[in-house]
Amino acid sequence: MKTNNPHGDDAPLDALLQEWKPKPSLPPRFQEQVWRRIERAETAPTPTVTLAQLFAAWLATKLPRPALATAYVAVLLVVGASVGWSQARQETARITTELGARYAQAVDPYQSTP
Amino acid sequence: MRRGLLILALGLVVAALAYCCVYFMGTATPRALMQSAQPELAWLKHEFNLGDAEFTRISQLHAGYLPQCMERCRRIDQLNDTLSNALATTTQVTPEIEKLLSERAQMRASCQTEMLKHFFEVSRTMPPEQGKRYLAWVRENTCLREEAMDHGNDNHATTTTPAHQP
Repeated sequence: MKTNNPHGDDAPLDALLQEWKPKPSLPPRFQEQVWRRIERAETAPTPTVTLAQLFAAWLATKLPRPALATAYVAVLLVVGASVGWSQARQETARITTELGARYAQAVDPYQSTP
Repeated sequence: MRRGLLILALGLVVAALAYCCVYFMGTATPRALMQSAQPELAWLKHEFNLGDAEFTRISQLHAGYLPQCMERCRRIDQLNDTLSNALATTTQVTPEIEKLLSERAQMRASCQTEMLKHFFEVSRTMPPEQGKRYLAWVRENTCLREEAMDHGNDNHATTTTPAHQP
């Protein structure tokens, strides 16, 4: 077998190196410490994410996307226009009724004042 | 984050602008009616699609009718006062009270007749279809539509509490 040894063939050394298995020495009470750390990690409270944080994250990452931003502005445009239209209808009906009552009151003195 | 906030604010501004535009456009007509010199007549013109000539004629009829109407109201008020005084000094129906009641009823009938004449005259000034609509409207919204007779079975009678003895 050809070796990668740049200094030439040194078969005994290669064999020795292949047989070598390092035995690392663990620090004292290693296993116990590992279990303790696992236990601590399991009992530690999971960090809670508040709604404000979620909203801030959404604001920073999701909303600036062109498609979502366009949809968001379009939806608010439609909502604003719809509410305006609905309120305008109510106000128009109120004023029309009021003016009709005023006309009736002007020509008919028997109308009772509300 | 800043871009997100800008988009958020832009959406709110767009919503507010859309609301204002639609609201002010939608209420332009009634606001114009309210700001006219005689809002109730302006309403009549708008409601019954009157042309300028018809509106001028109806305004003249209206202006001619109101002083006569007020004079009749003044006379009815006078009769009411006289009747009230006569009722306060007696415990039975005297010939004077009978006469006053009859006079008041006649005055009311005359008032309603004149009112009806005015309504017919106004309706004739309008285009035929609008005239019909106008008459239907006054029938429903003036004293021409009498309240149903009620002897208190529905417990809706509105009265004032009798005065306490001194």
